[in-house]
Amino acid sequence: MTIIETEGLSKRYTALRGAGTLAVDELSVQVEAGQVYGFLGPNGSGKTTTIGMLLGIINPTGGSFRLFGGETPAELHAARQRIGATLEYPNFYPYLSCRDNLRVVARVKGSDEADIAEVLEIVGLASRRKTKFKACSLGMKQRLALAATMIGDPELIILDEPANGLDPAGQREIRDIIRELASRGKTIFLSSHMLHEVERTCTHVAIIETGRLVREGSVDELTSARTVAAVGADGDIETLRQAVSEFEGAGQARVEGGRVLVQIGGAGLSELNRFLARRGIYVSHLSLERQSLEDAFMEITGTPEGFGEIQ
Amino acid sequence: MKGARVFGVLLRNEWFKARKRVAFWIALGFYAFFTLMNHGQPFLERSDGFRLPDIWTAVFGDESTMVVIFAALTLVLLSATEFGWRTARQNVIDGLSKSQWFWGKSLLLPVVGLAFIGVHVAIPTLLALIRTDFAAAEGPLLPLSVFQAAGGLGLAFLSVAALAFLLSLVIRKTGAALAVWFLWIGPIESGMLPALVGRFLPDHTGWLEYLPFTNGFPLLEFRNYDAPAYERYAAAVEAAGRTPSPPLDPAWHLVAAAAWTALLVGIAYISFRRRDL
Repeated sequence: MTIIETEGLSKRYTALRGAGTLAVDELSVQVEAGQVYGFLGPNGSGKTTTIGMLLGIINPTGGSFRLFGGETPAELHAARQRIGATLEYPNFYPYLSCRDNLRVVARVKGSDEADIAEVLEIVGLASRRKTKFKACSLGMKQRLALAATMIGDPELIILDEPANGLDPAGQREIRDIIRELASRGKTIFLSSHMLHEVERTCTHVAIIETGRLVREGSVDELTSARTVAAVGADGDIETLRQAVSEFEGAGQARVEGGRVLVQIGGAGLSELNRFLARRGIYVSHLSLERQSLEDAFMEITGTPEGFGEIQ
Repeated sequence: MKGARVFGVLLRNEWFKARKRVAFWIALGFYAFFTLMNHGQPFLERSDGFRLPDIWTAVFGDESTMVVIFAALTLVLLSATEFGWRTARQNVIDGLSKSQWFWGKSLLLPVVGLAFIGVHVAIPTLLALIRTDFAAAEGPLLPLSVFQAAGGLGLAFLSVAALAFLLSLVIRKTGAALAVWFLWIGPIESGMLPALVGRFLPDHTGWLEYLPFTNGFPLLEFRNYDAPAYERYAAAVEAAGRTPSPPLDPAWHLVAAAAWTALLVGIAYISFRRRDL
């Protein structure tokens, strides 16, 4: 079942002068039930605007979208009752406690207030339930936002940068909670800059840039399509890098950990080995390494420094 | 959520948020203190008019302007902050439609009005009860005109508060919304507009008394609803050697207040629906 479907979805912010800003440009994506869908893009690429349109807080200026198959205002309103979402920074009433904030959410969602204790327990805030939101640390606020998305046991969870500002331990906790939710069969739509987290958590990704979709597919498709050869040899590493760079179809070669890493396109390792041997270079290490999602992302979105700058 | 149940939930949620907010109680407490101070002296001096039913002239009069201002100010405080905290947007994300959010927030108009007008009426009434000699009281202690005056005060509040509500939703910043609101009810409506119209359209100044804030003044006066109160007022003014103002029928002002309320809330609704959160 398709949970989210956008067709040519667009948003142009009007300006007093000029044509305004086209934040989302004819975006068409599809999210199926049970997917953990990563929605990636550089800052200002239109991720939050897209999510805002899906959630009804931003009015689209073009195209259409369906949530749980519904597209009329009444159907979308009903569909949104099946969604738990948080957008950008956690937004709650600063003078209310964690528990009281969740009470407001529960009433809005028309769900049982009995859920509150359970979700506070899941995100590890049960003992801090009486702490006022304004007194919470950023990590607690992020967890509270996650707890709020779980109220009412929604089928679709939309998270926009859920681990923003968290330390590595906090990021890991958030990742674990997302995995836990995914294991319960929830569909998750996740926007994040933390590509390592996305790679570990998501099954599918879409990459957008300046409001346009530039790639969509499973994480496996995206990463395995860009396999990298790792080459090691005795002797001068720079000579090896130079030689590898001249292999037909090779991308820009870089040195990392005493080895040369290079994209070799459709060619196999044996051809690269033969090519180097013909040049009198006999390799001591030759393997295929799958490119990380981060590498793929940087390449697709076109970092000016190129492949070699990515760490 | 459907129909009346939605309004029940929205009202419950708005009241929950308001009653948990210290600023709401400070504003209400401050107004209660102000009212107590206002009526304290005549109460302690055992003034003639400080008993039932004479007290109604003191309850519903020019000084009622303060309750309108205090309540409207509190309304801005409870509405505009939802944008600064981005909780309006979060409420919609959590499942309210924009219309539901708007109508839920608009329920604060009667809620805040009732709270402040309740304090405004209850304090002098309770004090007057202590000073009332029930055996010697003339006429009904709680005449029908009291309810008419309370309704008039309520409508006067709603029309002025609707302007504050509109500004809160359009400007979305507490300080700026309050500044513009004060600017309108003070320098603009009470100063600049009458001066400009008086200078350039001297034959067309009648409509100025129907502007949202000015329109409320005739609605606040108890003597405009109660004939014996008017007679007492006229006798007191004549005794002071002045000519009393003629009795004023508040009917058109009531209509204007209702119309302003509907118009301003309507504009706020359209603006809110059209804009992104």
